[in-house]
Amino acid sequence: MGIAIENLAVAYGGQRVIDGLELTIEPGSFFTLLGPSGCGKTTLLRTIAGFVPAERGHLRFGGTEVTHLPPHKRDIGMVFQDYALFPDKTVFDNVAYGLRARKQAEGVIKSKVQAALERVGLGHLGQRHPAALSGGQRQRVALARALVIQPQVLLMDEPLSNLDAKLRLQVRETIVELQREAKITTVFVTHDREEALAMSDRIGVMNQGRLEQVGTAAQIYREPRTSYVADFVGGANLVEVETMARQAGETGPVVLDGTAIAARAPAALAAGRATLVARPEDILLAEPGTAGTLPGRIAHRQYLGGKTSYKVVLDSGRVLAVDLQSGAHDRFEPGAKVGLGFDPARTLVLAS
Amino acid sequence: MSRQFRSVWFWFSALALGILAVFLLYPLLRVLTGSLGSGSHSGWALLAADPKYFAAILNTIVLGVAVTLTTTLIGVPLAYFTARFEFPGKSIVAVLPLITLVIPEVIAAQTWLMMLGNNGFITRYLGARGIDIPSFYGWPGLITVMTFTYYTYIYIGTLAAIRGFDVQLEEAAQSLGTSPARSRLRVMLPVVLPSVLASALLVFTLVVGNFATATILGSRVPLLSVLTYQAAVAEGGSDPVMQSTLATVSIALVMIVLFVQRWIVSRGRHEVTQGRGARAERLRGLPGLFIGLLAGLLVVVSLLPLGSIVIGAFTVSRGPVMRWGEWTTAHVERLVRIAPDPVLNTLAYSAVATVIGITFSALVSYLIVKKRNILTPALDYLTALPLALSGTIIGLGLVMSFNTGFLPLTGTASIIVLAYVVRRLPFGIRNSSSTLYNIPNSIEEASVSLGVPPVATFFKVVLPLMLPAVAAAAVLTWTTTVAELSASIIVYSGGRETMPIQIYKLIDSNLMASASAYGLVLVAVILIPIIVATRVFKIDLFSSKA
Repeated sequence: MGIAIENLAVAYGGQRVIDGLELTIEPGSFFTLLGPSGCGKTTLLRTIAGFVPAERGHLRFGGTEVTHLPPHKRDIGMVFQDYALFPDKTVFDNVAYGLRARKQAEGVIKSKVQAALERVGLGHLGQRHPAALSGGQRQRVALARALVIQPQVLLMDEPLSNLDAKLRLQVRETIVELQREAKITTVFVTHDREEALAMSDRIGVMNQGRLEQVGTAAQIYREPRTSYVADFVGGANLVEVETMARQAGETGPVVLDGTAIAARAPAALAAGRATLVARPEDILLAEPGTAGTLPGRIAHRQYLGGKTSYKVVLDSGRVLAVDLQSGAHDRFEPGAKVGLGFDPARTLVLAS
Repeated sequence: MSRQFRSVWFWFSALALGILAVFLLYPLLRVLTGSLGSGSHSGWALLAADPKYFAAILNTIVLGVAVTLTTTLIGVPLAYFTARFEFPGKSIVAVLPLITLVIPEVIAAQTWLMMLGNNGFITRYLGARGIDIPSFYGWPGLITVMTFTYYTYIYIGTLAAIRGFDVQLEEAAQSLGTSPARSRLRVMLPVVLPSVLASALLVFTLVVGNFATATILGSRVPLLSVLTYQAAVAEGGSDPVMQSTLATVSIALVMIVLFVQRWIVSRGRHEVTQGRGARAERLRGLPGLFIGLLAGLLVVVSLLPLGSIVIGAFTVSRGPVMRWGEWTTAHVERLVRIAPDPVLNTLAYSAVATVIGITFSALVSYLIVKKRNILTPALDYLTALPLALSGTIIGLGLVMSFNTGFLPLTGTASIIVLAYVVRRLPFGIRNSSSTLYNIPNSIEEASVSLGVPPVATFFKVVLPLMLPAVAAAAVLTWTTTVAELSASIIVYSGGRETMPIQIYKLIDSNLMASASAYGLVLVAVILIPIIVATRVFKIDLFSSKA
């Protein structure tokens, strides 16, 4: 069942945090709301759940209007950052809770709960209490509890951020597997771009209550529509440049510190100031004076195993981050003069 | 529909607020406005005219300061040594928090009289050997009994602060070159001080509101609470204007102190850094023995009332004369056969008050913590209000408001129950809300998201989690209401005596043996639920207290 959001406005604590938001989420897809803390992504999720009332606008699950439906009637499954397991109930009773609320027969409940627990690899822990489980196990129980009721929509609020790095990967895989298997429309909230890129069918990058860009992982990474998205999703170098008027998709020169560099404009641009977006791994370092490169000097080098990170100072004093694969190319010493080369296909120019 | 569902809680809040307005705010306003009197008969003019009242105010403040000092002098060192050192006999100090709970004030005052009063067994024993001790009535008795009644408050407050103090701060000070003693003084003291001051001011307010000890021992020293009581129930007609005036003075006194306390606590906010607690250092040899003996002595003295009540209950008496050393079970038998009413009354009133109080507190604290709306801040303030009101004042307010008029309750049992509920309200609320703050909102939302409506969620998810705290609150409410005297003695009517009222009357008639018999039953009624709760149900009574 898909989710359709139309002209949504939400006020929270007296402030309008979301205004005029539009979003369509395909049935059965995994949609991620990505953004820094305070961007409104959790508020949007909680509005979809019904815990935060919509001031204006429409929210539909598969064509049915749910804008004013209380949360317990929305048929959602929700997974929380702090697991939110009922501490006084066993793992089994936690998972059975939603089925009992739906007045299903005890026999049916028993087999469904057991199957759900086995699916998350916890079939043997039904009689434990949540306190006796590890963080990863708790979140698996929470996942089983949300999925066992076969909700129309699965909502997840930063479910991985209380887990340590290793568990985070494991639970992440479990979530993706279960979601693909059950084909439940899922909205996942996170501030971790790697999580978003790895898990999602589509991603919505949020900033100050607005969706800056919605697209597949590759689209928001490769084709950021705004410098905000480029920065948040890719940690790109953002540099102010001069450009002439451009049509969407057109590649042409922009002027950076007096040097012309070729860059592609994903959207139409007016002449004047613009922002050059170049990811650290998309910049090349060459011998100084190489044709078409920008002169600079290595200020700092950091060896990170698989790659080496450089900070390069341009003549204008600007600093750019450049990542090179470790190996043959990491021969630039701090203080050395270099030339920076930009791949025209991967270097973008966006409106400022 | 979502707005409708939220308004369920709004209407609950409005209902709770209405109840509080009728049974708390209105009585309080009656007390305050009553002081103005009518025409020339203004309480404030009378107050200024009679030096007796000025003396009572002064005495009350002096007593408050004196007891605050003595309790601090005992409570702070005891807490410090308990927190930071191991010494022989330390484990018995752990029973101290129970003492204030188990020994009702009226019994403490009575038993101290049985020991050191004019007819007391220690007085007699020493008198027979030619040693005359000064009269226990008046200042010596007031200060002694109140000190031993209230020092545990300072002890508990200070102990919590010292235990919560991050010992790494002290280590940091030492690493920067200060000696251990100096770093303790310079680093720990400022951090702990606000808590000590806060509990000291609490003791001051308790002394100002104290009725039982003040009236039993303070006959020669006019005190505000006693004069208020006398103005309320004086033979030959009470003086409603004067009782209101005196009550207003003590409310003002307590309010000033509470504001100072609030200010101190808010200034001390920065110190709540949770850190590593200190390991207790072992005190060996003479210092250890010395501290152990002192602490042991303190516990023994604090427990003396319990021993005395047993002795008193089984000692032969002829009228007011106690024949120490001769034993009988006549007093207890008489209580059971002829006059069990006060016992039955106490049990009935306290049981009802506990059920009502706990239910109301649980609901209101749920509204305050979890379902905030435009009304809940008012609920929050109102439910804390009884903290500033002594039992005497609450009793007065209820009598003034419900004697006649739209809700005549005087003469019924319900006004006693009401007095109990109102007095315990802040404690019940504090107890429930501290648990509720520990229940994350996400747990309720999880339940709602799984299809259970909000009100059902409260019963299925929140209430079970609150249960241990509610049980603890029930036991504490029970133990404190069965011992309640100062409010119930004002609102009760003939035939509805509770045990503390009966004990008070018997003490007043100097019938110590009969009083002891009731005292013994009262202590049993307090002690048995505590033992059952802590031993059988493993309830932690003090987790959210102090």
